[in-house]
Amino acid sequence: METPESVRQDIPKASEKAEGRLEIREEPDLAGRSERLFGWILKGGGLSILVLFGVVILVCLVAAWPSIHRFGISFLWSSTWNPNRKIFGAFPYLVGTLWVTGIALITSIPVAIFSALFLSDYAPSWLSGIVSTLMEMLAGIPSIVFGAFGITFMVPLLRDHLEPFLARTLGTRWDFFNGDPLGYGILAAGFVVGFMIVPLVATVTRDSLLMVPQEMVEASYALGATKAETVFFVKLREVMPGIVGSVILGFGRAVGETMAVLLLVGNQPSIPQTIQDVGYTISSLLANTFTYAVIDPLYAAAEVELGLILLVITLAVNTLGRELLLRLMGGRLAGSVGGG
Amino acid sequence: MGSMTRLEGPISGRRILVTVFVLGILLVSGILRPVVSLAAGNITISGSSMLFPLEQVWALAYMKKHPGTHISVASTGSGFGIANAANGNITVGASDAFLTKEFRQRYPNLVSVPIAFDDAQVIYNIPGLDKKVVLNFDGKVLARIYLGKIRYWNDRQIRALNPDVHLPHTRIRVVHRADASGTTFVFTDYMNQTSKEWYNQVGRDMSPAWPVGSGYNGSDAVVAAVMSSPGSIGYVGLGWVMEYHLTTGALKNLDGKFVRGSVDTIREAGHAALKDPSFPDDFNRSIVWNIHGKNVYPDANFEFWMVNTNLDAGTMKEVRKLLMWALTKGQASKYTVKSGFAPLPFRPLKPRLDKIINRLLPGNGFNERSPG
Amino acid sequence: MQGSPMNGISEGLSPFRRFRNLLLGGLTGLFFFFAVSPLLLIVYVAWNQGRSALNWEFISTLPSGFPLGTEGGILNGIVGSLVLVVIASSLSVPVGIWAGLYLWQDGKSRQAGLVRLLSDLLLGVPSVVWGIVGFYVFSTSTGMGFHWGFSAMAGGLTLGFIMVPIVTRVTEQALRDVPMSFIEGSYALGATRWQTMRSVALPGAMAGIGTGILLGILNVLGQTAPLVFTNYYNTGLPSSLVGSQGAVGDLAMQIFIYVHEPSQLLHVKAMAASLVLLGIVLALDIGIRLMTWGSRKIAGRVG
Repeated sequence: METPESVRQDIPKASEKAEGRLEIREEPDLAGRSERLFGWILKGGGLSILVLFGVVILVCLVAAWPSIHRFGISFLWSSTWNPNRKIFGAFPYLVGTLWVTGIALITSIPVAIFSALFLSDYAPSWLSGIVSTLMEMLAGIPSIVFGAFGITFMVPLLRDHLEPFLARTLGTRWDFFNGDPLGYGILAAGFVVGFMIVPLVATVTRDSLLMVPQEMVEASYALGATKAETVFFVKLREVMPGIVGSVILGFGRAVGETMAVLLLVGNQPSIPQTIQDVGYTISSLLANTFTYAVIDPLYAAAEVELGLILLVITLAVNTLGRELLLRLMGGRLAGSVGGG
Repeated sequence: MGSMTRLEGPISGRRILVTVFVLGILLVSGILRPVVSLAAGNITISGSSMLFPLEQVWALAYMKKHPGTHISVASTGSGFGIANAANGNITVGASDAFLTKEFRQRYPNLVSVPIAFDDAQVIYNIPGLDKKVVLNFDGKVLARIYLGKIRYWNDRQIRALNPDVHLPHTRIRVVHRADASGTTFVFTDYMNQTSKEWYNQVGRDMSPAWPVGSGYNGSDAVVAAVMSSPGSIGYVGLGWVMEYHLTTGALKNLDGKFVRGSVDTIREAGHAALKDPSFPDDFNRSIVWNIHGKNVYPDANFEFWMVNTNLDAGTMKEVRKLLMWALTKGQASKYTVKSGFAPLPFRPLKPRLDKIINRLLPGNGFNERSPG
Repeated sequence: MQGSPMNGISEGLSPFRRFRNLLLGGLTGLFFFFAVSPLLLIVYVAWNQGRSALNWEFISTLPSGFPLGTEGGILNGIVGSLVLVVIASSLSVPVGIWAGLYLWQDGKSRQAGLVRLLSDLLLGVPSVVWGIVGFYVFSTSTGMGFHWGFSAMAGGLTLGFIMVPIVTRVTEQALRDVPMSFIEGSYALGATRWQTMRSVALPGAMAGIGTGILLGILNVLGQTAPLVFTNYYNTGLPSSLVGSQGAVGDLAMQIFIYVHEPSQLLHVKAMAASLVLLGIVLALDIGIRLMTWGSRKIAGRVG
């Protein structure tokens, strides 16, 4: 900043002297000025991101304020949601969201991590290139297509085969598996969301596996480790932060998934007692009723507060996941968009 | 500087990008140009999924007669219709629920125009039961089912109402709406007036706190869920019942008779309600349960179109034209009765409808001759 | 964990380790199959159920018939999606590139770090939250927002919000991929920052930025939830882009609406519409791949 200042002070002196020299001396000044202006214009670009983030937070906070003010922190564990009596509590929706996300993670993570290992270490290089591309392309399948698949394929499959099977086998010993096989429910939603986040978790894990230094792998082989030992005990441990990061990114994506879940989850704000039960997630409640809730300021505020809780969860989780991945990969971060 | 120009040469990305953008804009403007001149008026009707079947039929017929106008209908739930018509976000909001006092106070600009009769009906899917068998329900039993207190189809209380039917020992799967729905409003209205338990625990609402069951977005999804889940019970309007040939139950009316919903029985209910001199001029009153008559279906309702008086003049003109068509030619039984709705008795209602239309466009009263 | 060094020669492996080696290797392949098969199944189910409805008429006509959509096609959805994407891009491309330029230029400053963090966090904001924001900012009357009703502008700009961080991040990355020697060379020749950016950095990063835009469009095309709050749906073609009649159709929304109808015919149409959407997504994906391939090739040649 100091150099342009001194240049500017120079100019008046210069202009007093001669016309011919003036032009020559003025050029750095113009450049300096436009340079600074340019810097400011660029800063506007950064500012626009700040503004956008601010708008998101501000809109949610302001719109949720009546509910925050009215119910306080007990909103989180109150389980009554009764628009008729203007009592609102988030608990069933939080539990439902965690159930669906949990089932999604359980179905997807082992599968995703093993396939990442397959892609990075086991598949022959020609195959790896092809199937990696395939995996990345499948990551682009819109979530509504997953929802359509869920309703035409998964629901009948679960209703007629998988859920009765669970009830017949595991259900005889544990009541947890002995529910009403409806087809719709947390299991259907969890499975479909799980399918959805597999490519994301797998590609991010693969990318972090590729970051493992070749020397380390070679050292492991030199010590006499088998391939599996090298891959599972050396590489996997080395990239653990990356795997945790990718799982966290997957969680962030699963937790906000809306339309596919809305079609499948059964939309009932009860605490699931069995794996076949229905539930309700925050995002599907908002998609179902928010456009009506605006008739009543408190009702709308309670719904926005649920959205705010979802936002806070995803922001926290994504900050964490990003830190872990950034430390590992430095700069190149595969992002994910909150599900549609 | 030389290196810079050299760099621009091989990179075709910029050119691809510009081409794509220009093509995109050309394509959009190319598609939009004829459309702008074609669709002079565009009316979006969103809301009630009960009314959706009739609206689809109306929209097709109206667009055929008025080629300049496009009517877009969507089934989004009456709550969506009321809230967003009130806020001016859609042109017309459709609702099965009338405007309660609370709504009228909050949104004085919202005018509810009655356009047909319909009802909420109980549908069920019981494996092993003949499709022709009609189950009887009263408010108490229905409420106990929806409260989760009656859990099997062969429960004593259901059998007491249906002594001649052999019911299987199948778990009852309660199906309800997940969105804010006028069908729910009408259905809970019936239970609210006939069951103390329901009145105390849940009440009448468009999106009540359902104690049990599973929820679905829209009547369409309720029908799909009931059709595909054995043992389920749900509720939809007559229009959906006719469209998908569903099995419906009979409900107990005020005179103690079990009546199935049909165009005749809901018309009976509507006409009986309108005969009451105290019936309000703006039609904002429930016609559920509290009506005498042997053939009266106890869970009928007026269908409404909610219009915001703040719509701009051009749109309002289109809306008024559509309203007048719907209230006159649209009431023909080839539209209404055929799709499961009872037409309004036009002549006796004319003074009241005039008043309502006047609120929409002051000075332009309802004119029977002009619709076209 | 690395085994005893004495077993260095593979022939000397204990049966347990040999078995474990094979088992774990086999498991990765098996799990990879588990990972990909549901996804391929989705494409197959869509193809199997939707193929019969797919023809030129399906793409070129408006929905009609009773129940609505059983006859005719999805022209409203295709046109609507196009309108939404163009509106979204016209907001997010300039803003995203602008912010990306800032991140590139300011590089390692603390402010840039904050902006980068927020931009990455915006990537993860759930789509229902975007819907709420879009509803209050663009759609409904709050006294402060725009009050455009359920309209293409409201929906498109909300989608634009979603796209901004994607374009920002990819733009920054693309600019970083321009060889530093070019930039330094430009400065050495006396070019200003503006000249350097305009004539060296941006052209060099153009393919990458294009990738970012396509990536953003790809993400935005499949979004349904924000549209529930800001645009919903239209069975016809739009005549205006704002106001109470400004709603446009949308492919993803159309699939959602058709798929929760009980009519089997509409399920077939929904699957056919899914195929069209998948086709568009595939085309965009191939576009992205060609662009990144192109830029890599160039980077490889010049660097």
